[in-house]
Order: sequence, then structure tokens, then C-alpha cells
Amino acid sequence: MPIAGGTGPVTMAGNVQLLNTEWLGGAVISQLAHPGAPLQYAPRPMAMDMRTGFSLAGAIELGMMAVAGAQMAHFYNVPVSLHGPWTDSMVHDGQSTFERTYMTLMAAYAGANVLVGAGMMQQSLVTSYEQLVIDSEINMTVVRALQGFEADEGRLAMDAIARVGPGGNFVQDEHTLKYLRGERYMPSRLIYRNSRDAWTSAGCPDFEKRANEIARTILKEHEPAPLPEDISRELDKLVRDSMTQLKK
Amino acid sequence: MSNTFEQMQKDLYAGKADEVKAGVQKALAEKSSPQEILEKGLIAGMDQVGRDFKAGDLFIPEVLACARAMHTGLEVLRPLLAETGQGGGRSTLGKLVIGTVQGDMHDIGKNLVSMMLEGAGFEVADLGIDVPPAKFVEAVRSQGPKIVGMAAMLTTTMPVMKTIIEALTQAGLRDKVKVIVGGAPVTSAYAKQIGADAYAPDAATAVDVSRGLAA
Repeated sequence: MPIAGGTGPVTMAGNVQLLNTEWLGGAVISQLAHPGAPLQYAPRPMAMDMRTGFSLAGAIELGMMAVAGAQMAHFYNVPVSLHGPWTDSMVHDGQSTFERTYMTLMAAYAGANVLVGAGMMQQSLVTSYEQLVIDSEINMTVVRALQGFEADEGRLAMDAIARVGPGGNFVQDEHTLKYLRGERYMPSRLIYRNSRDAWTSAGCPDFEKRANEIARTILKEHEPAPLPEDISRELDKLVRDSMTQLKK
Repeated sequence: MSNTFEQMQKDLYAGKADEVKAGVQKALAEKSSPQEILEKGLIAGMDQVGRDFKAGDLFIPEVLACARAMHTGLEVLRPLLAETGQGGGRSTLGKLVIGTVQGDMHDIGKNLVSMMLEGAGFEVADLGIDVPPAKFVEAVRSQGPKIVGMAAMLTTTMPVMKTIIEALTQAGLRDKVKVIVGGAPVTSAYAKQIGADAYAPDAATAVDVSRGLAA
């Protein structure tokens, strides 16, 4: 994870070249130590802020370098893990949401198999429940975008358009009922989509307050489904065996 | 004469080390005293650099180039300052010992602070990274700095700063030196809690705060 301008060249090309070379070096060492060990390409390109010296998390160049890293991973045909929702902001504010949305979108469209960073803020020094709620929403939204939309005969809706005709509406048409679910992603209560009056009556809950309420509800009400007994045992064994292996 | 200093400040600001060196030699030829060259040329130049860095107009690599240029000029002056007994050949602001505490390998921020302090006129002894408390104590004992600076990048290594302050107290050195702390997870509240004299959130502030401590 070279830091452009700090532990790596200030130029994006130079920094990507270095992180790729570092990954190749790591891959060689891992294959010599454990031939056939699974590999993952996890570039963590960063950039030093030239005013403070901080390693930035939310700069657009990080996303651009990560995309280049993903392209190299595809070239080597290994799975790639990228930073998704990341920010330099101290709170769940506009800056945080702004930075993490474009970072997540870029990483997803670059073909990342894994996105890390959910819940983190303040250059990864802080993890927050509200942020996890917000990131879940960002991720679900990005997933919807990645799914794209189909344009088959049924979805092109020629029959429905003819049925409804000029001046009509589609709300009551059978085509709407048939394709309603699956076509549209329905966000959680985090995303406000009602009138100003309804919002005012609810006490004007802003974005952060809504995230806080959802987090509290989840903490209070959610019951995690336990792992099946056999899988749990198998996982424990895996960890034990790996530890023994590592100690050798 | 004042033109020479003006040009020296300009060259320093542009990070032109050779030109600054030539400027110092020119000023000497014009019979300026080493002390005057240091103050009106080099330190005055670095003051402007510090101001613009703090305002966000100059960036770190540029500041480091300025500091390098300043040092090139200072190298010419150093033996002369020693000769005349002014500052004993040492910098004007006094000595400062700095290091990243034990268990912590991060040094970019600490190096930056070191260079900025040197640029401002401190004589800096850098103990490096992963520095155990005993080494801090030994450095304070043997080098007698005005200030000791500690850096930690991790919440797990931050408490070592407290250990070092306690070690300084036990060695009877705590009241002989000012302690300044910094690093990503460190806060002014934490600095106060562990009994440090000062905290700086960034390199530019570290210089200002250290100046205050050394005064």
C-alpha cells in the first residue's frame, strides 16, 4: 500500500507500478513458502496529503489508482479486493457520503470482488454503527447499479404501452404488477423520499439521525442466525489447524 | 545589502540551495555578520515559508526543499558562528530530541516535524523509530535538550509516551526538559492526561509550539 508522494511516487502511474511490483513480490514469496496458496490482489493505493502529511482515504486519485490495480488483477486472473466506502471526514456528513459513494461506485465498476472499509471514518481510526448503516445503503444502491437492466420483450412493454394508450397511467396495469419487484431497488428508511410536510411532522430527522435510529433498531431487534453446528465445528478446526501450521 | 537578503529569502523560498549558499557568501563578502545573515536572510526566509505552509499555499515537499536550501546556507555560517561564539556554532533556538516511541515503526510524520524544526532553527537529534523509554532518558541526560518530542501513530503505542514521561520523572530529568507529543491518534486531551507540556496536530503547529516552549 504505497502512499503516493510519501512511501511511493507522487505520480499515479508510478504509485500503481510500485504497488503492482510489491504485490508480485509478495505473490512470489507466498508461492515459494506455500506452493499453490490462494492469492488475492488487494492494492491499497493511498496518497499523502501535501498540506498535513496525513494518508488520505477519500481522495479521488485513490479510486483511480485502485481501478488500475483492479485491471492488473484481472490481467493476472486473481480475485481483487478494493477499498470501497472510505473518507477523510470526521463525522457522518456530506463529505463522508460524497467521498465514499464515488469510491464505492468506482471500485464496483472496476470489477472488485471484495470491498473493504464499511463503517470506517476519520482515516480508518474510527468505526461507527451509523456509518455501517449508511455504507450498507451505499453498497445496496451500487449493487443495483451493477445489475443493470434487461431489455427483453416483456420489459420493453410494447403491449402495456398500447393497452394504456395516450393520457392513461400504468399504475393499475398488470404489467406494472408483474415487473414491480425486481426492477426497482427499495432503499431502507435511511433514504428520505416523502414530502416536506411528512418530514416536518416526523421532527425533521436528518440523514445522520435516521442512520442512528436504524442502527439502534438493528442492535435492539436483530437476532443473528447462528451458523449450522457442523459448519461452526469445521471453521473452528480450520483455525486450530492453521495456527498449528503457522507455529511450525 | 538589503538586496542580498531579499534575494536570499527569494532563493530560499524557491528551494534553490546553491543560490542560497552563494547568497550567504555574497553577504559575508559585503561584511554582514554571520548572526545577521542567519536572522535577516535564512530565518526570515523560513518564517515566510512557515506562514505560507500554515495557510495551505505551500506543500510539504516544497517546504522540505526550502529547509534543505536553508541548511546549505547554514553550513557556510556554522563555523563562523562558532568562531564568534554566537550560539556556540549551534542553532539559535536550541536542541530538540525527537523519536517515534517503542513498538511503532511509523516515521513519515516524525521526519517531517524534524525537518521543519531544523528549518526553523532548532538543532534536532533524531532517535529514529521504535525508541525504548531508556533511550529517550539517556538522550535527554547526555544531550541536555530543551525539548523532547515523541510520536506515535497507533492507539496501541500511544501509552508508551506516558511510560517515557514517567521514566523521565524517575530519572529526575522531567523538570529539565519540555515534552511535546503528536501523531494520528494523539489528542490535546491525551497530552494533558499523560503530563506532556504540549501537543501539536501537525508539523507547522509543532514548529510554532516548540518555539513557544524554547522561549
